[in-house]
Amino acid sequence: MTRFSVALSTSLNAALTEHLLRDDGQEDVCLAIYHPSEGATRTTAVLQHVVLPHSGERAVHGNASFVDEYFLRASAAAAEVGGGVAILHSHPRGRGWQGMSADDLDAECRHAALALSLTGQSLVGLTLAGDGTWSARQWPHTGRRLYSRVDAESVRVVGTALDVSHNPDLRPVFAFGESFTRTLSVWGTPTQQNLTRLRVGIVGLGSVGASVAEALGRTGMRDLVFIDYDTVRTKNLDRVTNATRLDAFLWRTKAEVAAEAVLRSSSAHPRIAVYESSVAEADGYRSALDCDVLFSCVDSHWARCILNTVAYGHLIPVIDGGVAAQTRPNGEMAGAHWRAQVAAPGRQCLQCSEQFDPGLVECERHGIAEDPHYIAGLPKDHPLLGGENVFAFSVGCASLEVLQLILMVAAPSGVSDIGVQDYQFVEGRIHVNEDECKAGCMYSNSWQGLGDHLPVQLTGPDVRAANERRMRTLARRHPGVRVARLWFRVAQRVRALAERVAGQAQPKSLG
Amino acid sequence: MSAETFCAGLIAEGLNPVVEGGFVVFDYAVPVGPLIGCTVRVAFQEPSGFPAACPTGPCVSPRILPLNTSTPHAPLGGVHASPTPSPQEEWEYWSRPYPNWTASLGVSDYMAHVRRLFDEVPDDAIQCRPQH
Repeated sequence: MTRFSVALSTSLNAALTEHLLRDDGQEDVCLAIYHPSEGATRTTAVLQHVVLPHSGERAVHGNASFVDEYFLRASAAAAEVGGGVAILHSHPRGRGWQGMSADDLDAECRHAALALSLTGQSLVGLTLAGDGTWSARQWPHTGRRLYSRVDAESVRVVGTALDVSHNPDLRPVFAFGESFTRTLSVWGTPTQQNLTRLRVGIVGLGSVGASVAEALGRTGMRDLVFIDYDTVRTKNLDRVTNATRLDAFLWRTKAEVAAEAVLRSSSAHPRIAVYESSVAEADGYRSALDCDVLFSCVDSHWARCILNTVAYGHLIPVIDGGVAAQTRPNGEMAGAHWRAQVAAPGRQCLQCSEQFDPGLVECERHGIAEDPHYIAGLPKDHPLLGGENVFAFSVGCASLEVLQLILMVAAPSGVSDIGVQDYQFVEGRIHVNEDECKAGCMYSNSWQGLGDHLPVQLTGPDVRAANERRMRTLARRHPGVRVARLWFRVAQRVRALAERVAGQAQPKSLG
Repeated sequence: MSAETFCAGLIAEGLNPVVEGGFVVFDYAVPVGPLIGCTVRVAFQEPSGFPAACPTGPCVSPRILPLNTSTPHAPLGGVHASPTPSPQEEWEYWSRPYPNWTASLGVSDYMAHVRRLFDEVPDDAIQCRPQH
């Protein structure tokens, strides 16, 4: 069954809160336009625009109600942009995720058919509690004249902070045991629960991504999505956390190796979905849209461009990082720097911070960057080449990225956004850039909140990914590799059994 | 949608684009430089990411400049035999990414870049001069 969530920007949340949480403490109601965002296993309603009631269009009388003309007006506005309509109301005295009264159910259910017929999209309902917690549901058409409520698993408010309301039934809290004593002593159980109930995606499980994965696993993240088509090779072993010579010999994928490592090192029993795809390909892209937050650990202009549209169009914050090392002509190290930033509404996007070159996106997309004749003519320092890196730099970058997530969610001392961080290795300093997007930036303006209705089509066949999968398939056919992979699977099963037995046999006092 | 947006922009520039085999192709009367007044065929790989991404450079027919992949730098470097629309016709691909492209720019900005490229063609390097 497809899951459901809702996303809105911090600025829209502020406008809705101002309207719905009245000074006189009564309930209120309004309507909004949303755009759908279809992931692989989750549909999200991305709220884009509030349609406030005109005088006489809604009545406040302890409860709140609205007239049909208001609903028709909002639905027409939604249909004009291809969006759906949402009904939002408040429970000022409520705390936490809200249930629905009989009146609430009736009001939404009664409008479900009309919403679908006018907009082509299912009706969405939201409730705002007095403490700022959102709850949400969708009313899809499930049978003849039947519209059944599907509760959202979360509502995320995205901007300089990431504030997620988790449905306690669909995302229950986890009992963090002794293994997390030190972590909990730093930021407390509520922050730990907020953080670890997020569905976090990592795009790219190479030198930076693998370390991010390890950090998230040990922190207690419970719902992870790994997206990478690449294979562990011998040349990766000096930088990719947990990758071994055996993994390279067996032609295992980086995503598979990272998942196995996190399952072993985490004490929180995470669920990890692995997609051996490029985020530029349809299934990789859709799996990214299943996430509440994404780590961009890629070395591709195309992938970063795509993730930039995801951050602003689909309101999924993207934490991006990268390492650049400089060498002298004689091969000696000159310096290095690594940086991390969050791309989200209210923050500078990856295009404005020049994390990718839009002029090179089509080059990668059309496979020009894979043409050996084309590559041969490029200078060593061309943006399509490079990749010099060492483990210590990757770990440094991964650390900055993970810390950006923690800041965004935990907001220690009220600080959730510290801008773009750029660590200069030789200087030993972090430079911070807190600029917003440049004037006229499409990502943070016209394209924000459009979901699947973004006017750009960036995904498509990925030549590099297809070549890698082909090479991996061929390599695995080698008799030596086939036998080794068979024995490896047997060994994995034996190990899993031993771990289960050890877990059952372990005294409760050991973590 | 993005490729259609791009084609619409070319039409607004007075051009007549046709989509053939994954390329947007049109006749182009060169307005500047040593080839002013000559008509060449120009093509771009279908830019479905437009305007988030822009074409990486024009394909040009006939082969005005000698092929040169030893350096990427214009005006003489970065001239490749592929990718181009047709193996039968003589095309060459000029690898000339638009400097500092942003999604807020449009087709007219990109065609200004193409005009600059033709303006910068060295007269003495032209190996095939198309007809007027």
